[in-house]
Amino acid sequence: MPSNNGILLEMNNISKSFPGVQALDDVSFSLKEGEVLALVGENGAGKSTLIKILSGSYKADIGNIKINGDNIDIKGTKHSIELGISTIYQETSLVQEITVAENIYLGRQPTTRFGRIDWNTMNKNAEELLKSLSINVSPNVLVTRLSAAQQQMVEIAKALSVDAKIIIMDEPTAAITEEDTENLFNIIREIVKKGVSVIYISHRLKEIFQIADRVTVLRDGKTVKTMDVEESDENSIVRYMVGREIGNIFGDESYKSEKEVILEVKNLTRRGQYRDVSFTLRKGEIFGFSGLVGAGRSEVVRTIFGLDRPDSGEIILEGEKVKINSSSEAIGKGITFVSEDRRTESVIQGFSVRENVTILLLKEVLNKIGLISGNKEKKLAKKYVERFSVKTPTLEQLAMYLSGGNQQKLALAKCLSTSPKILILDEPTKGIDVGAKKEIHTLIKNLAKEGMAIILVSSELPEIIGMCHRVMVMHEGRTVKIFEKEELSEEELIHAAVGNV
Amino acid sequence: MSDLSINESTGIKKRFVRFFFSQAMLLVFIVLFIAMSFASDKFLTTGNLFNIIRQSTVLGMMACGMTIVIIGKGVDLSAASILALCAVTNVMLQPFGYITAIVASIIVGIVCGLINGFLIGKVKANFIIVTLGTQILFTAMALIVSEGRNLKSRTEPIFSYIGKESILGIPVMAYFLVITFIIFGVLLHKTIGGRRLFATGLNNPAAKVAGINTSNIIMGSYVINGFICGVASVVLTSRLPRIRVGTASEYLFDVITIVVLGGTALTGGVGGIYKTAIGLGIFAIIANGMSLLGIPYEFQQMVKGIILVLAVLYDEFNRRKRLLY
Repeated sequence: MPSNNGILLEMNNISKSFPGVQALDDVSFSLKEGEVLALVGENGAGKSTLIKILSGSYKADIGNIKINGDNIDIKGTKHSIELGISTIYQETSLVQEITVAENIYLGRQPTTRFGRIDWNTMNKNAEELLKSLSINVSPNVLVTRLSAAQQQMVEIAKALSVDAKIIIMDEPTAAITEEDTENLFNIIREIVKKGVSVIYISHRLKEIFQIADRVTVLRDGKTVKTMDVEESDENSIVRYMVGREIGNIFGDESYKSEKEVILEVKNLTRRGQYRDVSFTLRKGEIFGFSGLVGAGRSEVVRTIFGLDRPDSGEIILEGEKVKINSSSEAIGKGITFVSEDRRTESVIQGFSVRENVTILLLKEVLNKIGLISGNKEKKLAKKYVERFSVKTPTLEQLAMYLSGGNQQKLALAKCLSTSPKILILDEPTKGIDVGAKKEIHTLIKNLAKEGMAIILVSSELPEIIGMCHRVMVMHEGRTVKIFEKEELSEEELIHAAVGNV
Repeated sequence: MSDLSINESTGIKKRFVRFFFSQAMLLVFIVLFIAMSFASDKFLTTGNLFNIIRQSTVLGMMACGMTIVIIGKGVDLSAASILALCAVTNVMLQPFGYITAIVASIIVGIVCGLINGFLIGKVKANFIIVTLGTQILFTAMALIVSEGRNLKSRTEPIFSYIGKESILGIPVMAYFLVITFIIFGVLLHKTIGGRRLFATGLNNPAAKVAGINTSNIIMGSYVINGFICGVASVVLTSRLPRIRVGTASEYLFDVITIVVLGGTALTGGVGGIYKTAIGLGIFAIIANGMSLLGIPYEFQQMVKGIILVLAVLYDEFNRRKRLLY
């Protein structure tokens, strides 16, 4: 079968445009049999579009695709799977309420003579398949009980069960712990040995050096460079990605918070979510919330922003005990919040860039008789879009067509338009490329310097350590410890996050 | 980094195609208008055109209210029942003077809207079940109050004036229709509340994070709808010499057809009053055309059913087009 120097897949001169955006411009790359090819690039570089062409969701405007040297016209997602291409997305497409085995054989379950599902055979096959990949998951368990990492592994098994030759993984490690990442990598190494090729997309450059053989860098819809991982290093990849050197990610100048306490939280409790959480927040301070996913961090900040009510405890804002019953009250008191969930919360996907930016500021764009003035609104939107360097073809572009990093900047622009005193950021750089990340970090630091108090919830330890003055670590809904700047180290934080101090 | 000067790089052809799709319903309207002018020599007469307007006024006013509810990701299945209850209230209270009658019927409309709005916005009950329930409730109340009779509707002269007279040669009812559309257009597209309604309909959680009290917004949409049903009932009693609860109830189907036909999405957050105006235009021409051409009632109903199904298909087509990129 391998006839062209082991090259399994070629994509040549692929171009694809959407209204107002040239998503891909003459992109070419090849995939060898049994290799892991990392595909990297900033958000908006065209990775997703490329993947969607390969998986049959989009059709390329120009260009050809070859598999085993034959020209292929991918007609749709089903055809793509028939061609041996399986795509595993960040959010799994497994059905949560049925078992692992059912998911693997969904739609093609083995049946008995009477047309009923042959559970024994199905479970046995699934078990063998999982074992052959050293995936330590029982085929009888419901998918919803599995961790994010285990679900990714089941997806891999599912892909192999349909004889996938090419597996595309889109940020598989975005939501999983480091230990699980190692397990996932072992399984990838396992399947590569079997001759399967993997296209691996990740923002975590370190992982590329652990798992990939070659790396292709995309920038602004073009292939910039393909190189062997062994001959490259993190800096050179970053340089190709952003087209410039970006220096130390977190900046190094030291800065100090002011003494004045702006927010004090005392024994805040919400049953089933968190208990007895207490901390103070000072002006100009970046206060970190660290801990494992599900430790209760997001729930605490959502309560402070008025989206949920606490069962007991006090919130003292500028020396005054307050009750915050709704998000609009929170905004009125000078608190804003950027949710971790860009898709459903921090940005209104179906609104244009303009409408998103001005949603909190509509009072400022009214004309004399109290109606929204189109001109004033446009001007205001333009001002914020430029100040926060949101990349968009026009102000009327719908937010859903922006890249993740730009959506995040849009969310920030919206929140900061009200000149808040307290800014709460929940995972502000999750799934965002290095360039935009750096911009957001610089922005956060500058805001703190100007005296804004910032709560930063983040699962990324380098980010927490690099950015924060103090860090509160939570574990299963309780505060483990509040660390001062000097005490911060990855080891300490991890220990605290798993509950031992 | 931001570069707002980049213009959309798409060519004239693509722009034309997009314009064509975005204004597809306007084109349908124009084609129908021209076609009807040829099909029937009675169509393009002042008398007939005014007749179309008279027939469309109640529907159009209600469609404005329904547009607001649908943009907030709801539907008010009780709208026509509110109309009936308000109309009955109006007629029954006319002995106490027209001001009492009109004010009372509008208040009844608002109260009906409040009941719907409270249950859907605040209690967060499912809008289909709630309005299905209140549909029966309001209709039953109207039947009880009217004792199921045909009521003589225009005992006060002002109603005959609204129903029959003209100002500057144009029927009084046309002013009701146009003013309603202007007010609702402004309300929806030019006020903070309108913008918040779109946000709520598009994405409720995100609207909440943006500091919008989504329960109030949704409640408000039903109250406004109740209010406009109340006002529409005044027009209804003016137009028809006799009111029967059953007549009013038939309006629901037409109103929803008009809104969806115009292109306001049932999935919420997308649409507008301009679209509803076009939807009304198309619907009114088809209804009028079928009468002019002497098509039997049963077939007219059949055509209306087909139009609603086509409108829903058009809605689905639009939704996919939005998700395409």
